[in-house]
Amino acid sequence: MSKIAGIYWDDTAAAPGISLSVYFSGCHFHCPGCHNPEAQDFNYGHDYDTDIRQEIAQKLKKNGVMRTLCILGGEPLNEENIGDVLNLIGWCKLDYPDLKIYVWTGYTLEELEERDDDDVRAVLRNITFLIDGRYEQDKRDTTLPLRGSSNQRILYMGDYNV
Amino acid sequence: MIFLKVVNVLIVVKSLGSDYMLEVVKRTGKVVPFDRQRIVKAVTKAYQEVYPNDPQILYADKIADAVEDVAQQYDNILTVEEIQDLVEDYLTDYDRLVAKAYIRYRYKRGVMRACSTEFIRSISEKLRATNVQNQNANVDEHSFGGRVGEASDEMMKQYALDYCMSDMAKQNHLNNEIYIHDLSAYAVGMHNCLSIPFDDLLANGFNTRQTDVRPANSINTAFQLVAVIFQLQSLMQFGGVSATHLDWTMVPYVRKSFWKHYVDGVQYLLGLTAEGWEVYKNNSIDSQEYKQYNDKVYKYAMDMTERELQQAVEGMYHNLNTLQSRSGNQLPFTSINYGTCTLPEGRMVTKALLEGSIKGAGKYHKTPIFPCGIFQCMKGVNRAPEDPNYDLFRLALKSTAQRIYPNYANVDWSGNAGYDVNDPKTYFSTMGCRTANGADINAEPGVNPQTKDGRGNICPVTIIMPTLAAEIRESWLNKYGVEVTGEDNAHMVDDFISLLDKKIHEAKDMLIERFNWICSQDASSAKFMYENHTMLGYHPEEGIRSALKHGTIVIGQLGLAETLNILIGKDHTTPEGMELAKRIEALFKKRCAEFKQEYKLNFGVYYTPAENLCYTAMKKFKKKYGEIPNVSDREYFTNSIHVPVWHNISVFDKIDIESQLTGYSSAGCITYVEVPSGVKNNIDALETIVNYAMDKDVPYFAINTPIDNCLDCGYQDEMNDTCPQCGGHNIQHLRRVTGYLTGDYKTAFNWGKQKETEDRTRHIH
Repeated sequence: MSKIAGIYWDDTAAAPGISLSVYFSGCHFHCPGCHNPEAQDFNYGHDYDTDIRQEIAQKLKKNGVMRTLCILGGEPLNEENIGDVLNLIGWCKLDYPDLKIYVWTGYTLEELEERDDDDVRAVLRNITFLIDGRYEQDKRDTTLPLRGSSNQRILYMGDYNV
Repeated sequence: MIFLKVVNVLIVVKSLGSDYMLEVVKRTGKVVPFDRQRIVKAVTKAYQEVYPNDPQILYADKIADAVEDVAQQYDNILTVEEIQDLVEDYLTDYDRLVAKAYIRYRYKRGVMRACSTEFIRSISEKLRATNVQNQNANVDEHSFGGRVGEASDEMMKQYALDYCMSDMAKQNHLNNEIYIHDLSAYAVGMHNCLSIPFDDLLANGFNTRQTDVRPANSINTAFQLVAVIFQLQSLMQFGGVSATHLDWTMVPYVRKSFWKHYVDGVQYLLGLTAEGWEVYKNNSIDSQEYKQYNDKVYKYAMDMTERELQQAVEGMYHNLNTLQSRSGNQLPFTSINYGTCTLPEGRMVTKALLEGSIKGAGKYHKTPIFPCGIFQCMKGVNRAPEDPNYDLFRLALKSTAQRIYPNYANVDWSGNAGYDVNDPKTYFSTMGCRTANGADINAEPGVNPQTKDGRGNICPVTIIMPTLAAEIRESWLNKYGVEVTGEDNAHMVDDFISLLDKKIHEAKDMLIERFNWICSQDASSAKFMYENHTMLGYHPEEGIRSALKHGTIVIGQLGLAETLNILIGKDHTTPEGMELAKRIEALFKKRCAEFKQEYKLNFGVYYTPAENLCYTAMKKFKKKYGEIPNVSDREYFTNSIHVPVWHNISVFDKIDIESQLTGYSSAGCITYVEVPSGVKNNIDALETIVNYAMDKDVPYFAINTPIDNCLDCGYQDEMNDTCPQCGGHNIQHLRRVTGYLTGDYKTAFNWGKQKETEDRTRHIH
């Protein structure tokens, strides 16, 4: 079972508008200068379980404000977490078919596609934007929207159908 | 210590000298020769009080002699008090009645002396700026002007308390129950604030003591006159000044400037005569006459007008941040409302105002402290992407993210019902701090009661609710000796409501008292105001009351959260707390509505800014009731009905809570939320938040975002004491005080407000 390192129920720092941001624990990359080093540990934080999933789904539209779901880490799309990430996305989409979802990953889209995994494909087909690529300290640029280093990309996934 | 030293030295002198003289130590510690005539005089006075018809004083001399004899026998020099004790002893032997009169006289003198010492001490503190409190963040208490002003304020305050009001009013003020604001301006009879009718003043010109000013004939002149008029009016009163719809106001002057530039174009670009163009002088800049005549001239006129407007706006920002007109190097508290005019000229003005705000002032483009910008949100005008001024709303949000200003006024607010959609003077607008003009019960025929221009607040008082709650709670504890629970608690709350009701009535009486005092002043005290009719409805033959009666007199409040905690142990973030909060606010609203009808004066419920009061009232409260958890364990009381700043609560929940109470206030309130500085990269989020507040019927909404500015290099972001760009430590931390900004909160705010600022929690990540 995956662990959740933390959640911002109301977040302005991740995506445009108001977001609900979920940080999955566990990452193999260990990029130097990592923004959330404590979340590299797969055992950090709380269990991802039905309760938390339901709370997330509920609070996505708390106060009647539709939030964007942001999924970050750690690394949400590694083999350990992908199942639960898909689970979360699936359940949330069920409640809000038009939900916007942003996912931050250290893999590149190409690396993910190479994995040839149904769960990965399902995630990629159901999200709005993918921000991909490792964090590279020497390419750090804090002026870039949504990204930490200039090698990272913002990929629109709304019409992704592979 | 000094006193003892003097005494010791003198004792030595005494024991050495042979023909030594009897001496006494004065209260100041100074040693002076014993003067027996003082005893004679005092005893005579006491004697005459008891026996007014008997001129013969038989024993005054004898008592003086006796005291002198006894004093000679002491080794040390006696103090004045000790001498007086001796007089008392001897008098008691002769005549108990006279002794009593003497004691009374002595006591009275003592009280007077204590008063005047305290009074002189506080005056000298102000004069020498030895105890700077930053009561008003806009005043520099160290400056010459500030010291003179603050010192004379001390005198004016005392005078007002002693000679200008009833004992009821004075006692309420001194007992920390009902606070009289701007007490230093009470005695001269100034009023508080005003929304200036700029449309009229710019169109007609105005008179000053030394000259007269012609109507504005260009956008540049119009903007400079706005600054001048703000200055002049602010000297007529003790509070702020505002423009209620500046974009609309400026339309004719944009046109005049455009016309001038167009005619210049015709003359100098085309080499033609300007004759015949006079008739288009007031045309819209969009009119076909301009557009079709010549492209080049049209473009030239448009560019020149925009450039002139931009410079005019910049000039106004600079003027309002530099022309210190009141003592203490104060800038006038200026606010400008704008954003609803969809005419091309009005849109141009709003755009220029916002761009000027974003650009900032000075070499390092610092955030302008004044004017307080207020963007007027209006459905169908600027709220949604399809609205004509939506682009300006987005620009406003961008400015807010970087500069804290503008704040947001809600033109659709239910409390401003009855306004005229065709008359922007009636749109909801506000003073930056939050003070607003509700419907005028004295509106003249043909004038919409929601007209804001020419009206303002005349005077406010604030009920310090925690004091009342603590009084009630203490009386219950004394009566029963145990904590009040269950059914009893409900009765205790009822007792509080009764006391509050009594105090609301007393507040009303205090306001009427002051209103009448203000009305009794002569129009010559504020010539600029009355000669130029900056205050609506002045009829000289009826006196100044004819104008003042259009203003508001308001009952404010402080510390709802603490009050609820005293009474029921929880605040209005809980359902029970909210229920009681609504009961309290409903009482305020009901009474003010009744007073308004009964006295035909514009009573209103006011959610007081209490910039200094939040701290001073708490200091007094603590002295009396000590530290009570969640009530007086901090340095300040929570502002009006606000959720305490230290509460961990989301933006939306905070708005949900406060918006349930803002509707009870007709005389002004503000709701703000704390957001991180990073929101400047997320204007969509700000838009969601502001729209959320507007949809919840919040009348006046503001975003607090930290602005830290390096004064060495101009770098601006959130930072502690070191600039990440240049490493400098000269950092200015800008924060909102009440509705306005000021300088660095760490130096310009009073202690309580500094603590409050540091306790503020983010309401969103």
